[in-house]
Amino acid sequence: MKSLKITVLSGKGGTGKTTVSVNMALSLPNIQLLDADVEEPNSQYFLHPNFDKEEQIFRKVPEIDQETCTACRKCVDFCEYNALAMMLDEVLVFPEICHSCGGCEKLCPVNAITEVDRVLGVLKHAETDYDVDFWQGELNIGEESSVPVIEGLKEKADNQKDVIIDAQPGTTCPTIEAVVDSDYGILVTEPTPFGLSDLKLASELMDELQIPHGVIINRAEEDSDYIIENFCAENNIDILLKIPFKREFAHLYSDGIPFVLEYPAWEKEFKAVFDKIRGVLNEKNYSN
Amino acid sequence: MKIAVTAENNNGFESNVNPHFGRSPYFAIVDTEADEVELIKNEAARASGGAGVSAAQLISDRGVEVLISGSVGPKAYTALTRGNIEMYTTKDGTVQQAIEAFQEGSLSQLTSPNGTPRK
Repeated sequence: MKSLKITVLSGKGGTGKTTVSVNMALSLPNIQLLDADVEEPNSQYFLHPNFDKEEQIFRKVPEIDQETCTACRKCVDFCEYNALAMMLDEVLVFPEICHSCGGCEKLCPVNAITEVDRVLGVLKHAETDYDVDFWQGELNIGEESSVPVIEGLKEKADNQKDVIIDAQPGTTCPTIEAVVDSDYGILVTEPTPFGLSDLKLASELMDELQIPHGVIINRAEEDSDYIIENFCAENNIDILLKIPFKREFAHLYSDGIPFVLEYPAWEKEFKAVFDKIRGVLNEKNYSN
Repeated sequence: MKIAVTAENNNGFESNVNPHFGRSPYFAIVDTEADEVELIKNEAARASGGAGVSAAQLISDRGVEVLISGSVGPKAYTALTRGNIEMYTTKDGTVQQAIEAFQEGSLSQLTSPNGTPRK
């Protein structure tokens, strides 16, 4: 059977992506978890990994040879991100806001610009106690673009294993980079108007990317689930699972304990979600 | 001498001071010898990033030697320092009042960044 790559994402932050990713990973055999929420990777607080490997991620930023530079200012005027400035005939580089497009180097008429490596972030690996092969990406503080870290993280995907990717919230570049080549997207939401509003955005994104997707309602409550259920019914989106709003779950969360470890019956629920996803994808491939 | 004051609106010497540098809506460029003021719209006020650097470039290109504002972020501070532009702080009032306070020597000079970058 072909291994699957599933990304867990959400429009809104704090809906439970990590809860779903970690508990699901712990419920499945031969699994790899990639924490791609690189601005604040928090799966680690539930898996308690002892990291055994680290790899730095670099990106290119310009370096100016002031001797060669003629202060023609072409590079400064070219840079759309204001990463270059000309002060008293000297070109200053602000590497944190450089988007590494390489344009300045190409257009410099006297070749005074070279691109040099800048450390952008780090990838960390751990074999966890729970049989989950775990990688996380970390973006260095002050850096603006996390995409290269997520690209590097995805290269660690083991095609002999099923892979779960915990994405950054939102619907911008880092989230897209995490999900873009996945087989399926799990959209985690909560039954509130905010949850619905951002679920719509996430669902539109998935349609745009043509990635099959379903919804998990976290902090589900009978009185309010209709907010999400109505939307999913209207748009033909599967609701894969509801995780109830329970004090015990919140308590375990605050102690850094994935709830499947205390309530093993939930392992079955997550396995069922995974099997359902596999079924949906098989059907899709069959019909294509 | 040319002095830049971050301004809230476009109302000559009576424009209100804006407390932030990079994302200030206007810059009042005051020529103290000629006793003239020119208000420039800050096109980078809504930039997604690098507004401070862009603002520093703009006032440096106008030959400004002194900036009066409320807060200056780290990247703007670096750029302004390298452009030999001195920074002084004020909280409120008009451009006219800021210039007078500077000339009386009652504004304090900024010697490190005091603003945080915004997205």
